[in-house]
Amino acid sequence: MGENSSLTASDVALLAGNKDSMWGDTSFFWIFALLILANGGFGFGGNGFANAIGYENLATSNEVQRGFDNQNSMANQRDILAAVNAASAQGVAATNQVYHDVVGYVGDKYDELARDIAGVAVAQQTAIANQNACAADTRMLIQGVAAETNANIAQSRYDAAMNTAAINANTTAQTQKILDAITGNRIADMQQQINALELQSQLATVVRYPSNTFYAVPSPCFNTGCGCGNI
Amino acid sequence: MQQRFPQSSQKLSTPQTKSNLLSQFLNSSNPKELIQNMVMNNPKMQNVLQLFQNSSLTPKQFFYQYAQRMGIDPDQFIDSLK
Repeated sequence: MGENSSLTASDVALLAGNKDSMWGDTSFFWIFALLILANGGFGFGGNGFANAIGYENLATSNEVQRGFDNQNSMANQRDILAAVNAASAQGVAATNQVYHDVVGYVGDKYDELARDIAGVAVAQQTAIANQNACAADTRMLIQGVAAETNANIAQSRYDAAMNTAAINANTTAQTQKILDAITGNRIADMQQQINALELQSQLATVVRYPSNTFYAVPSPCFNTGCGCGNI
Repeated sequence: MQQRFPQSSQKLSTPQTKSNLLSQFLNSSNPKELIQNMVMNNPKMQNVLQLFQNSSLTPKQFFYQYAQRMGIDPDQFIDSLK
């Protein structure tokens, strides 16, 4: 049978013979029925006549050919679709595996992060506790220092007051001594003045003569013959 | 271009009717030759035979599939041949 050419009688004979040997004599009947059907049913003759009643919409051979081509195309499409589905299934499986791996990895990282956060929280709480303890200690030290400072200030004030009192007492005593001394001196001076005045008063009634030493005429007091020596 | 059904030794006459065509086939002493004469100058038949040849189906299976693809009930068509 040549390409794009009509079937020869020998082709049909060969075809029918091969099929006949396989399916018996009924093969010719089915081929005959097929040819009748392909030619448009009972409008037999292939003269362009309309199809028989009930088969007006009968497809042409080209349409049937396209149908079979479509069948092959659909088969190919099915094969492609099956391959695509298989590839898609593999892709989906791979994606699921990747998703599973990613989820697992993220989960592990999350757990690890949670543990780290818990550790950090514990460390932070410990640091805060230490800070609080340190602050309490500092407060206590400050309070202790303040109390000691206050005590020292009070002691200093007390000591200063005592010193001041002692100084005042000493000053008073010294002042009193000075006053006493001054007073004593004044009394002594006054006594001397009194004594001087009393002596002066006693001497005021006595006649006083000059001594011979200083006069040209002898003093009556030293003249034994005049009687003046009784004085 | 109109196709003329070939004249054969079986003396097929045109236009063919259901009864005389089927009777000719059933009464034919050489159905192969009858088919050969039917196909000889008929492109439609040649095409469908080529399709059948390229398939791996039996004549009956191919006929049923072909009829179904044309939207025809194959059993009803066979009954109409009787």
